[in-house]
Amino acid sequence: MRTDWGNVYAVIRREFLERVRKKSFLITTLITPVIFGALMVLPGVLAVVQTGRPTEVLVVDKTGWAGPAVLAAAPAPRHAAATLDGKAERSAMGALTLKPAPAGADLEAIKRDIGDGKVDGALLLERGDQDQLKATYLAQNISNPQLFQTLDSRLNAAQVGHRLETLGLDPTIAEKLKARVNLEPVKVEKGGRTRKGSIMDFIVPIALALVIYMMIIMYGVAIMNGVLEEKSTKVVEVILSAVRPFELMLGKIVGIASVGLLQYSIWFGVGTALYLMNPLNFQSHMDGPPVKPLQLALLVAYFLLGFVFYSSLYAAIGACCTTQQETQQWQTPVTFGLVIPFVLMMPTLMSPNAGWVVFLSLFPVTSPITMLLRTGAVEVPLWQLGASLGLLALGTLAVAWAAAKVYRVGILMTGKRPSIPEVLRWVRQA
Amino acid sequence: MHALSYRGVAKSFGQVKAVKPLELDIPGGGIFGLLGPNGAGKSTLIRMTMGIYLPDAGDITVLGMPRTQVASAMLGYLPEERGLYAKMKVGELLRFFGCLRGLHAAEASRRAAEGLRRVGLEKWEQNKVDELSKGMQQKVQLLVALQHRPKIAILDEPFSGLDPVNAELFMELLEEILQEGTTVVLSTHQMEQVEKLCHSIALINQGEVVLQGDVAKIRRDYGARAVKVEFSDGASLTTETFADIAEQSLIHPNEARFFLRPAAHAGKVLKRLLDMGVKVSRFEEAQASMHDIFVKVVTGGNAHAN
Repeated sequence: MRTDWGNVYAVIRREFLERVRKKSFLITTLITPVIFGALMVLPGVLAVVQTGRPTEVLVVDKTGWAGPAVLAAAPAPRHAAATLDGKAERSAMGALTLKPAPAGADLEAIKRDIGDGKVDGALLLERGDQDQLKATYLAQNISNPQLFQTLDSRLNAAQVGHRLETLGLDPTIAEKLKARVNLEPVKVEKGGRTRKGSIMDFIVPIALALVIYMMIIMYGVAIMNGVLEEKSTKVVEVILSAVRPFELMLGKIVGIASVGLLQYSIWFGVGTALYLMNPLNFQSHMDGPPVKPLQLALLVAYFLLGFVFYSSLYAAIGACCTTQQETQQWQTPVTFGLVIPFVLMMPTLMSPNAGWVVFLSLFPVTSPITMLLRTGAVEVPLWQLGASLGLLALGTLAVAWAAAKVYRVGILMTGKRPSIPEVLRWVRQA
Repeated sequence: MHALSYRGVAKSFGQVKAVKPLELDIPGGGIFGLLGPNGAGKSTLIRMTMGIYLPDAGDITVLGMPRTQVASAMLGYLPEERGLYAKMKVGELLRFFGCLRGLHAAEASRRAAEGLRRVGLEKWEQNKVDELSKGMQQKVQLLVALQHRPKIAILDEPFSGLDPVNAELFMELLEEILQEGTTVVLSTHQMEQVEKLCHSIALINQGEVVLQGDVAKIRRDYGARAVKVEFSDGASLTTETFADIAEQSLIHPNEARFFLRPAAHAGKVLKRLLDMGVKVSRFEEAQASMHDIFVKVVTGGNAHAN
């Protein structure tokens, strides 16, 4: 019998429209970027926006020299004022005001004031061993890392300045000695081209792999549940009297994959728009767009092949089971194929050309995720990309073929769940 | 030309022979009864006819065409286990199945609206299936089977669970498609319906056709040889009591039916009953009902209902 593409289209159309028209689709599509955006942007925004009045810290000086030095030291900001980091840095500096304690103030009295909330905190400066400055911070709230960082840099600036002075060095030389070294990562690409590295080099491959993982899990399970629903509501009998099992399975996979692609396209569009509109000066963090066209093409290719690969398995599982609980046991081994590359994510990114990493990026079960991680870390040789995609395509064909057979027999079975040997026999026989 | 022909059609599931090599012709037009006890192989035969199962052996032809070449538009199916997409709107659902049965989108929409009007559900087109009552869902399910005007409609227990009003409506719909020349294959356990609706039947038992032909003729053949008795004080009666006279005896506490052996005479039954002191209140030579014939053929002789 030939495949009736009209039937396949009818099934695709139903699956697509039924899902896209649901309120839950609209809600997840709208809410997810809002939540993600909030998670990414909020901490930065909160760091910039001053919350409440600055923390006032009394400086109690027992050394004679350190008090004025700490008060005078104002380390130069390390980031340009226009950048997000610069804004956060200035905001953190502004969030702290240092005030010398009144002469002859009693430490115990200050401690009582801190305890009563009259004073925010006190910085106690004492002479330590070997002319070392010993500093103690006393406050109710000692869990503000920003404040510690600011105090820390001021204290160190004061100590270095004091030492250089006692050594009798020329202040201009002293200034030179204080200069810090900034380590700048530079990424070298094929042909010796270089570009500035950024945190994005690390985040993008992980994000892409995560996108694939989430799509396959979310929509693969949706396929499984769809099959299960058709089976448990018995509607499958009417459908199969008009449609071949293969047509039904294909239509389902393509229809639900289209829903996933639509949803991710919307998110991608929103992300691109945000990048171009450049609120909070995101672009300054990056050297060009974060996702290269090749990565995007690979993302789509690996998604499509990986999705068919896994959703065929999910469809077959749905066809073999009659309840949600039953599917759980069968789902676990399938999900392993997706989880393992994530468990191995850090070693993959650290040594992306190790033998086992190359193997995982070629092996169809793990290749969608491992290869995307690798492409972010190194320039993967073209032959490996080709081999990986080719093997995945072959693997997908084989899995879809076997799954269609299991699906064909399983979809009409009721009652007892078949055993693995039985399922394997269906593959050989049908 | 036959609506459906089965030549040596067989299907096994593992060791179980669900349908043994089977020969059957279903004539075109009218209602054909496909009868048989539960597990006889009817559903398997129907599923092979609908292309859900492929036969292990043999050929099925539909209106003279091999089954594999038959467009799904020619067939309609109401399975015994009813099922619809619960979350789909009624109109959408009918359009979807219309498209699967070869209708174009516009035509499917028109048929859906027309069908819903015909069964009085036009106001429910935009409602989801699970908002409908069970009876309404039955109507929608029947529309799914018939809306594309199939040449052959296979209906499995179409009247089960229907109230008398809806049963009448279903009957009218059947009449309508029969007028249009559709052949209906009716699978049912309700023998009164078979007597009322079917012109001919096939009785399937243990994967084989054990009886087939014209309903009137079958009843005549069996009927001339049946006796129906009503009585009291019949506790001592057993099947063995009548083994020499009747091929089969169906003995209930206050009533019995006997299928006479070819040479036996009805009077012998009455005489024996009276001899045994049974108080007979009614005695008649009856035409066998399809119910009796079904039980007789399936049990293959003696059935005792005590």
